[in-house]
Amino acid sequence: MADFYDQVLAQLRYATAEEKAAIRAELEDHVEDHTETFLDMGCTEEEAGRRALEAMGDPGEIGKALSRQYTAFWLVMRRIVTLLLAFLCVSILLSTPFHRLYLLSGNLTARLAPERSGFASKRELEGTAQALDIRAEVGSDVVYIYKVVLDTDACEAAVYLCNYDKNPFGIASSLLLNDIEIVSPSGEESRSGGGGGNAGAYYWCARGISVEPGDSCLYLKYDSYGERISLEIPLEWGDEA
Amino acid sequence: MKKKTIDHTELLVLSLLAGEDMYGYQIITELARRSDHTFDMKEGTLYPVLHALWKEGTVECYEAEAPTGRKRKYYHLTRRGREALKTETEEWQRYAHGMNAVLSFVPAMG
Amino acid sequence: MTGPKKQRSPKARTLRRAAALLLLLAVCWATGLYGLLPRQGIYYSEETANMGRTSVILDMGRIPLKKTGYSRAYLCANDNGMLVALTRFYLLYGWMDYGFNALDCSREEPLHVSTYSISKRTEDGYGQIWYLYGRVDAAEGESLRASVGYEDSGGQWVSAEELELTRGEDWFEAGGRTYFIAPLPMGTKEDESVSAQVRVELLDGQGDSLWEGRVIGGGTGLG
Repeated sequence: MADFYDQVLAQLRYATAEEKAAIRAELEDHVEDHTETFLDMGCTEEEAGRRALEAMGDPGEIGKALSRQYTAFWLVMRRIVTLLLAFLCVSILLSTPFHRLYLLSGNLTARLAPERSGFASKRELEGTAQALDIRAEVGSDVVYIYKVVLDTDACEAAVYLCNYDKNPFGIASSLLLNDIEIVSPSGEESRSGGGGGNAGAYYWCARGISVEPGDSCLYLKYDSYGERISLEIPLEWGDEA
Repeated sequence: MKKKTIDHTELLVLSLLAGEDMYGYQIITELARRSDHTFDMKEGTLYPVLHALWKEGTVECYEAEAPTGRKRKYYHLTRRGREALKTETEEWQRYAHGMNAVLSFVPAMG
Repeated sequence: MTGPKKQRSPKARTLRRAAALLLLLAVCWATGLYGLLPRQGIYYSEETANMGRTSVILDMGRIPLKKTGYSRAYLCANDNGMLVALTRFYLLYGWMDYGFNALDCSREEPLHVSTYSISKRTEDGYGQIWYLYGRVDAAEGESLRASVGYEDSGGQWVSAEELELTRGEDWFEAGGRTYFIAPLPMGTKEDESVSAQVRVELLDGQGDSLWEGRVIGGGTGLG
């Protein structure tokens, strides 16, 4: 035979096991207190318990009234929301960290120490290398010219540059360096080059630029998608012996 | 006359909690004592009322030790609950006043 | 309220969890952690091309090739250029970029045009589709003739397929500009290297040529 509390809980179809346990505890506590009162009045234990339970009323009625607060709607909603939340958390944890850190490390290397990058060109032109820090914003990226090498005997120069996104976690454009032109004052373009990169940053070394003694600088030009930049790259010829 | 938007039991419970936090059995006994046993409801039916108020957000609940030494689930009136109590009390008083006015009306003798 | 732990009603618990979900969705949207919508896939292509933010001017629907999963292609544009962006939904990452072709329209020209080929090789076969797309800036332009062919040994142009697009029927307006996109009948068979080229001519209402040239485009091989 189901006891009083089971009869109440039987009406709650959509309450969770925890919620039902809490309701049962609350009702039991109430009956416990009321039993105490009857005991103080002089009833026997059995009689006190019986009268306290009677005073509660009809279990079916109580259960039905309670079930209006524990409806299917909120339970189902909570289940759906929990599922979505769990799914989203799991996919973010599984997919994000590596990708984001990888972008970040590529971006920071280009920003702070481009020479250290595995993509920076290793083949060096013979001549004097000069570290530079010429940066310009192009769209959502930054172009950074970090080195120029000048071979005073062969009158040839090589320019080292890279691009990275303004946002350290952002994606660098892989097409930007394709559209960049490096020319000497007399209009000589770079004839060869090499580079590489990934979504964190891209590197390029523009080689084979013929220069004339005394050319004070090279020019970097870019004109795509409405963004136009023109930068000067200084050349140090040094003191000729 | 505006239809009653709050159950009179709910209004009584809210007004009791305005004074102090109470647990279920305490509310029943206080209600009976203060109203001189006018409101002597079936005790179990108090709990659906409390849970309804809890769901609405007019009361909060927490576990604490009762004067008897046992742990009980206490109910606390929230700010929203206080505002609801104030509005509904005013409504009720207007209603009661209106009733009294009609009931005590004595037509003028011609 | 400090002190004993507050208990929460089922409704309150659900609402709090829903608020947490909304917060997480907002964070995903702001940081691009999970591609909630194809728009985030398009964003990656915009960034790779470095063309700034674009708006979608035509939803091209599913990519019409086999085994491309939940994929969608979008034609997007801003004042400086156009973008055909392919996106695909991956359960673990959401909508990601799946390939793209960008066209710079920032210079003063009567016509900007490009071709884009999308190919997919699966165990059962090979599929390829070509598009011709661009922007007409010349107000007098009335029709566009595209010719698919090649130059023979004598330097003569041999045309294999022809396509005509007119202002009235095929071009459409968006954001104050005139655009077009159409599938291009390249007539290629499986594994045949595409030696065909595309020449395009822009004509005005009288049939006079406003612009003529060979079109250089790009392609994406979907992995």
